[in-house]
Amino acid sequence: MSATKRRRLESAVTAIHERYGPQAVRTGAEFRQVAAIPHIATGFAALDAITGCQGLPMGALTLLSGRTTSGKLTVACKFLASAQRDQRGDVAHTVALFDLNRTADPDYLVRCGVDLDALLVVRPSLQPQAVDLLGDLVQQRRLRAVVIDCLPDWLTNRAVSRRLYASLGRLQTQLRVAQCALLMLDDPSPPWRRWLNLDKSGRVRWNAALHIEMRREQWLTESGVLKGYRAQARLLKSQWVYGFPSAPMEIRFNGTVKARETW
Amino acid sequence: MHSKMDDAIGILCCYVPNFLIASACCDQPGWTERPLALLGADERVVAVSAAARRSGVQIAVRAQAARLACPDLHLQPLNIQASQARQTAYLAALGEWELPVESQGWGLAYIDLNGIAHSTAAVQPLATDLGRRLRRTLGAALQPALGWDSSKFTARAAAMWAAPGRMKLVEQADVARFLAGQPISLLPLSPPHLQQLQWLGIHTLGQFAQLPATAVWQRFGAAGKLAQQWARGKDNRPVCGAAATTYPPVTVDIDPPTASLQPVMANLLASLQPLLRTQQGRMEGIRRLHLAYCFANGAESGSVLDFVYPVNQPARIEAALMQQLGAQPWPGALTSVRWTLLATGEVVVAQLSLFAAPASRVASLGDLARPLAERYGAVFFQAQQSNASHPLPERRSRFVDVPSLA
Repeated sequence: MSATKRRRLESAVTAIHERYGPQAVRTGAEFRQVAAIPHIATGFAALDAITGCQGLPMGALTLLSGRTTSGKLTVACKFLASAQRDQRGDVAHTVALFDLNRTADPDYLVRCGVDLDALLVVRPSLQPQAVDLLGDLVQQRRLRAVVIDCLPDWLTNRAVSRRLYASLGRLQTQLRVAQCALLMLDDPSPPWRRWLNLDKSGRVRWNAALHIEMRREQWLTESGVLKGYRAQARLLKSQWVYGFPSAPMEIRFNGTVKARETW
Repeated sequence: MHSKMDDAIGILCCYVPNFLIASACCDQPGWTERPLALLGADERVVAVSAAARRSGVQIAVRAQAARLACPDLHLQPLNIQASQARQTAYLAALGEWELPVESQGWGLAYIDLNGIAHSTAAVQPLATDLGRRLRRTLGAALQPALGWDSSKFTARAAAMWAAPGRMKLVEQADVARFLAGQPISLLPLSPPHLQQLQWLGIHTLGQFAQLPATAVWQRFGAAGKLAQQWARGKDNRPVCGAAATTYPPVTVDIDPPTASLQPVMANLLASLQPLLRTQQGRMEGIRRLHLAYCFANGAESGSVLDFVYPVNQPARIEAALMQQLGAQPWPGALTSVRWTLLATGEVVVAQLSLFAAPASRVASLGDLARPLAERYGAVFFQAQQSNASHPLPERRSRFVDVPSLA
């Protein structure tokens, strides 16, 4: 660009800034720096890097799908621990866990860093009122994050799923107003079902701001003892990122699971 | 007990509350209506308006954390040139009397009235004249609060007590009574020390002054001892004039020369430690530091590290140095770094209110569950670890009905 053109452009930008404020026109580089979305880190840096908002978004719905032992529950526990803490690392917020299949393990939650005193465990029965309960809890504006473990328990019941689909729009508004992050754990569905919109979580996925799929790749052993596993997180949908980036993750058992018999 | 000589000393403290915010609002009057925070070069908040502070925004937090605390926050970069121009005008107005003036950072300065005025009757017309002149020069938004006493600390406490546009003159006989009711947070002690005092039930300078001196010295060290003397109204620091104190440069050799940041930082911090320890004892901090770099290929460069508020905490110095060295182009391996202290200042008080830290936002599980329990039944639980070392996972923990906890 010639010097004259550059000067004219700069003077035009200055005039716009004076009239409409400095936010009106920005360079692409500035825009990338400014666009900070309220988020909660998952504790896995590689995963946070691909989501486009440096973690899981607040005030929106996130879907995390994967088979058993793919690492989705560990990610959810770490996310809860991170959501409880403020920037200084002190426990400053309350979170909730919808334990629909009643398998929550407090011992594992503690090992993931969750403070049990600031965790509300909700175990509703499989009735449509459970969906209303979720909305009512979020509406109190006292929760920073809610994890639902796991979504298929709701979707297999026709009455509950119908209520969930009907209230998704309102739930999104409630989340946005309360600045609460909602993470739903889901089982994976084959791509062809997703493509044809035949999977039951299709509507939830449609309303989710972020959809991540977890997949276990390899078990990690040391001297014959199982120490953890390597997983791959793949971004299937994000409001902030184009494409389908993936991130490797390593999940290590912190003394909870031992591949040897002790009794 | 003060001597006759001490009684003759008079120090006038000029204090413009929240100078940086007031200066920014002078340039942009529209900003006064919204919670405002100014960002420094390291993308951290350096100044917060009263409305933003009420929403929980604190100095030194990142922009994102500030936005989370206050979604309506108006975040703007600090215009350091404009603020410095106003500070220069402010100091020039103070210097018109041709008396020694000591600047202590943004909007805070001491004027030595020794030999000019020794009583409130004599100081009052002088202070009134100064206040009017400053208002004329800088505008109503930047009018100062004035405090007068025979010591620096009490003069500053008086200035901070007074509202902008007002003055508080403390007679020698009233010093103890005036200081006794002031908040402990006026002392520039470190936040952990202030918190300890709060836990001990010591909230005012009067309570702090009554503590045994040896106990204070044992628990809080030299800084605590000095702080207690100030709380008792004994502060014999003179007003140092505009002539800047010069400090000798210190050269840090990096052997072997390296292009890596870690060894350079370790050497630099080690060389700065004695200075920081001395400054912590005097409750002073670094305001300006010059760094000169020599590289193996013969190239030399330099940079100046400016702190908005004086700093003597090693962690903050380390973070600032890390950022400065990281931003500096390194044409080769670094052989030596020479640092020169250009300016120091009093450490800014950590907290200017009697209120403790903001209440925790951890909502009680009972408060969350109780309103919904009637409608949804006993579906709310709290997980508890009953026996963390039990070999069977199911015996290590249990779930307790939340409403029954209450």
